[in-house]
Amino acid sequence: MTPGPGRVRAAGRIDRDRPLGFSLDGRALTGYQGDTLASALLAGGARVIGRSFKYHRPRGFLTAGVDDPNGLFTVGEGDRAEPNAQGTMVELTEGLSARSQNAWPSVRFDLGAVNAWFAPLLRAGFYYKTFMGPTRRSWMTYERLIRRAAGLGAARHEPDPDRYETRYAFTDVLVIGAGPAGLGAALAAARSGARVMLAEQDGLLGGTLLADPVTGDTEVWRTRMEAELRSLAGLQILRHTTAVGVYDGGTVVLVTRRDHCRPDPAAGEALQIVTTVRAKALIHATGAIERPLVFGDNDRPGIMLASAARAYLNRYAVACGRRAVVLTNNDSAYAAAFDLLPHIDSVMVADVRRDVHPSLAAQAASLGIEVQTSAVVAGVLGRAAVRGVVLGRGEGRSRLRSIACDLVCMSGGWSPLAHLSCHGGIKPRYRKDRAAFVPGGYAPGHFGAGALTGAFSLPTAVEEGWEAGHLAAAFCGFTPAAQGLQSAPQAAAPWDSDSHRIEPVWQLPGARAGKAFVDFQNDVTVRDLVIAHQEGYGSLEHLKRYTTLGMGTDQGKTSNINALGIMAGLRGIGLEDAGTTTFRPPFTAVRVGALAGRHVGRHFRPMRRSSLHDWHLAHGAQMIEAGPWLRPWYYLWAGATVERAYLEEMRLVRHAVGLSDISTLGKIDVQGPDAAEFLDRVYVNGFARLPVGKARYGVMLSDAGTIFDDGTTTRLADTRYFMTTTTAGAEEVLCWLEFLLQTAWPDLRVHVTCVTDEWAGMAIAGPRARDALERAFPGQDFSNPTLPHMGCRDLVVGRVPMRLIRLSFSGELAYELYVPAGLGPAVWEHMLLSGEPLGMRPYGLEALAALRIEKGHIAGSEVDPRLSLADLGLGRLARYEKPFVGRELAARAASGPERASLVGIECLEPGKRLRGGAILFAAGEPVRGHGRGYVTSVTWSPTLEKFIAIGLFAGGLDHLGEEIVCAFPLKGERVRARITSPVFLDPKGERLHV
Amino acid sequence: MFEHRTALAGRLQPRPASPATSALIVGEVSGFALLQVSAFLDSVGELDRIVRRVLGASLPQRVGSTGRSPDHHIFKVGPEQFWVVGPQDAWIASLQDGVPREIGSTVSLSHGRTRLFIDGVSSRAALSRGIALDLHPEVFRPDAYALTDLQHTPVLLHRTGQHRYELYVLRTYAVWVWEWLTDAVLPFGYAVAPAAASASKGHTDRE
Amino acid sequence: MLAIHCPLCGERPYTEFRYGGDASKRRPALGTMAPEAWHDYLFLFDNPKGPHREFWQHDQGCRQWLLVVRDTATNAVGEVILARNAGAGAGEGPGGR
Repeated sequence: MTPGPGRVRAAGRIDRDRPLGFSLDGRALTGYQGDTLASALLAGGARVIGRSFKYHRPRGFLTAGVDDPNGLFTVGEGDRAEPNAQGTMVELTEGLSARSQNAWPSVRFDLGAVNAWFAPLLRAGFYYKTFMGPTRRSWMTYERLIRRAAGLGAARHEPDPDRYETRYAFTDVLVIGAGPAGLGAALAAARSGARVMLAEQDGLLGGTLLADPVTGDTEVWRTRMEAELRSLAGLQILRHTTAVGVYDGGTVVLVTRRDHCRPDPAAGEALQIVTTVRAKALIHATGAIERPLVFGDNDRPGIMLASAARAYLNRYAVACGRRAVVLTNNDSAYAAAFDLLPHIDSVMVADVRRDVHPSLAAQAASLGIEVQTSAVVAGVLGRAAVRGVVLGRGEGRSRLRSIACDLVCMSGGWSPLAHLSCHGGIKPRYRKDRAAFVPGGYAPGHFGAGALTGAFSLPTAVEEGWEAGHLAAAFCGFTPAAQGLQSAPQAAAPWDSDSHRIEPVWQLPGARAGKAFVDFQNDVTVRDLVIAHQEGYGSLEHLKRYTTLGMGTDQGKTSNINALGIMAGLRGIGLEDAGTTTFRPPFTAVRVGALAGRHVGRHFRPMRRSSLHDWHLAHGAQMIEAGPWLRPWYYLWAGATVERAYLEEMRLVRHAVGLSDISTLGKIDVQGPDAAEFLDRVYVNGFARLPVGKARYGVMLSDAGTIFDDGTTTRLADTRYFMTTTTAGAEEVLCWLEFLLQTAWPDLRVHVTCVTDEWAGMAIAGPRARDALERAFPGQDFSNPTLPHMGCRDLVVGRVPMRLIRLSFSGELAYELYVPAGLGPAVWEHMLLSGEPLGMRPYGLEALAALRIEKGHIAGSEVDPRLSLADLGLGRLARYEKPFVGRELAARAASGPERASLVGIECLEPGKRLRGGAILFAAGEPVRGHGRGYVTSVTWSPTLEKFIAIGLFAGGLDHLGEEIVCAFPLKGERVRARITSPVFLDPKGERLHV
Repeated sequence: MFEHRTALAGRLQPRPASPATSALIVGEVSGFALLQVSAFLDSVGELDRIVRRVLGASLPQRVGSTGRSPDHHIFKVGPEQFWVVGPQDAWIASLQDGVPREIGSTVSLSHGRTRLFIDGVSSRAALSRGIALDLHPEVFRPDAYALTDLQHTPVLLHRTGQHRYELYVLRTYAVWVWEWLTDAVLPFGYAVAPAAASASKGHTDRE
Repeated sequence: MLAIHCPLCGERPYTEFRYGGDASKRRPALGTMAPEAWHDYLFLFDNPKGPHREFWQHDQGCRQWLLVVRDTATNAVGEVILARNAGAGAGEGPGGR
């Protein structure tokens, strides 16, 4: 294989013995183990790697790291295709397939490039002005085209085949960033005995040291530090791990990428892992990134950050050009010049400052590098790639000269990555001596170190890290170890000085021609900032939204500071007064799949199953989700479809006997000397005088006096009750009872315990229900005198304690049988077996609901917190002479002829149906607006052979017998119906008492 | 006459043993009784005397440390509320009868909770996928327990050995949690302990 | 993530808790007939920036209702006590009137 035209002899951190094949847009290419997609492409001589968002200008890589705004690719194939992956962050693997994103419709015929001719249209505020104004409709037309032409990738539609995990982790000290400061901090903290986690975004430790020559002093120190850290048992090193956010209480969320490992989801291997870390102390050592210089045509491929050119050279053994011009306003870029020189044809330095430190000047001179001071860029030559720069001196344009070059290494200084320290709401602070924003402070237990704080020189960064490590350990109660630090290389390079000599220039003077880009990813230029300022969008938060500056995948990492500087200049204020936009998580893009973790598929949301669940499945039950529960909807014995089956099941209950799983009802054990008093307070009706062995229907109100929940409660003993709640309200009721007992009435001696899980419940319903019990439990007395309607008795059958309550939801003779959950299946089977001669069969939720509608019992859709007792016809239940929750406001509940209350509704048009949610109107009145009420529950009644419903209607039963219209606008339906009593069946309750 | 069926009965399918050294064992513990005993605000001392008389063990002082007799674990689950876990025998009735209603109450939860376990060197790592607790061996020592959240359901996590933990989960959520558990251990390799051979017959504790 | 130090169970993420509303006001005694008292208790709330007394229940743990002082500006959680121990002081304190 060939090394590629860009590959040089520098050692780098690539493994030349491990070549890797990969492809870009289907073309086969090669790189080495240790390459990123970006470095491999640059080694192959690639310059244009995509086109820009708005103007479709050719673009190349600007940086070598997480801040690169240009090099976005879709990586992977089919259901594993990941859009908007940064080429600088994708580690090369064998067979990797990448596609460039922003060359639609093709590289040759680039429709989008037409945009460049209409550039004035696309200036700041273009989208708002064009599409959000009176002509907003046009957005509908153009959006698809614009989105398609714009340079961001498309999300796939297939399910993601990969596995993602979420985890919790705890530590004393979490160090974010394994650059010089982070390494020092981790060592200091770990040596003190603290548990330490060190999170590093890169696959290697060292941070900026990785861009130093591998043959240099810093590499010796780096490897020694790494070896020592690895030997410490209390230290956990997480590579490929980005801290994406810092949240309340110092919680940090880490994302670990294992993409390069090609994990196998079938073996449980996760592609990415999200870790929620609770650390007692946190050390921010996130470093700094270099920023571009702003001048006309500063986006031409071949113009990149000096630090990037240096990283590509020293880490990846790639020279990004043969003739380089280093353009800088500070000392740090000289490192790139000095490192590049031995590997390429020529290097010159254009320094915008008037004076250069003598040590730098001397070193440059000794190497034969020309340094031009007071440099300005009058123009950039080349379109698809830089061919040269036109340099001038000072403000004047007289002494212009063209320098041929194919690489411009620019440096506008360094910007600390203060994102994470700002997530907690602490604004960054402008540090004038560094021309940079640094953290404005730290939450308690948080510490900062290194380039993040403006300590740009290596020895100082290490020292700060060491100090922060000690402080963090001490914060956690550990005594710092006496042992000293592996001293960092003291002989700092001439460019690596604590004084960080820089002359902040937010926009190079001189250049008038060409677009001067501030935000490369969003194509925001200096001109856009000027327009925004002129139009009153000078505030940074407004500027961002008006120009789209700092949006997109890089979130303004490279662009923010220059935009702030330019805008501050336009407004005539200092940067310290301009502030910054708000940094919010995540620091880098996070896959939605990673956030979801394993909460997908059957792990998506909690599912509750009664102890009879497996029996249902094995016996033809078709299950349905009801809140968190899986319940039998209907059984196949009764029909192949729900429409047929539930009617058959209803007939069974009306004419013989059926068995239904009611384990889902909320069940609460209420015990204590004050239990009776307590229930009297929480129910509107009385329970204190309920005899032992009797059950009573009760309704609870909220403090606001409206319906909260209902159910039956049985008195088991003088001081013990068995409460049931609605299935949906079970959790709310328990929490409410606990709230009252713990906050309002702590003097009451009452214990409430949820026993929903303890007891399996089954309803035995139908005219033959008593026969079924007698067959199942021979020798026991179930006669009316022993067990009347609303009576309760305990049974012990074969040493199994059971509780039998004579209650009816269906309107038929019925019993609720409760048995310990583990014995539920056996008792259920026993009931069915012994009831077989009676025709006993199971029935499901659909029949259960339909049976209760025929009987006019209220349930979930009617237990509505907007309704009062009177609305539901329950007004006479309340005992206003005793105090109960909600009494005072219930007494004031709205009433009157316009107030809607519970009615029955029967369909008058055979062949038509009523629908839940239908809006009710008086016959003959226009069907418009909210009507006079609505349908809450509806069913076909096999008993009455028509559709029936219950619902709320203004004036309620005052309109008994009147004809109404049920409108269902979603389907364009209008059906004639009549107001009836909500009790369609056996209004006197004779069936209950047989 | 009626056979007891545990929450995971029929779901403890054996798997081929994993060769991985990190492999875990997961399963269900059956044949235990769980009785909740609670005192009223001012009667914990009296409840403690009763429990000591019946079980020979004291009520624990704080949530997190257990009270123990040779056959029983006592967990504190509320300010005056405790769970006693032991064999299915006479102690249950003794406690149920022994707590006067002026002192407090007892509620059987033997059927309402399912007891799962996980064992193996990677158990802590697997649990960290769902439990937001610091399970570092020096923080969460053997026999420590905690009431916490797992997959949106309340659980009691009890460290019963060097690498063994038990989870008391609500019975109706047992399958939900089991599905989570068998997924969480997947990366490490795992085996499912077969269901205990002697599923207990009948039911002895009374209400 | 917001963390609350449960007096019984120790520090836990807020996901183990259920929010129970403003605890700065005194609940009218059972049977209080004055509707104004209930109106004020149920419907009138301050919206303070800073310390706020509120109820949280550790419903995935010990099921205790807690009285938590949370700073609405920073989400920092201060004192936490069992709500039942708030006693006569339930209406007093930083967020109270």
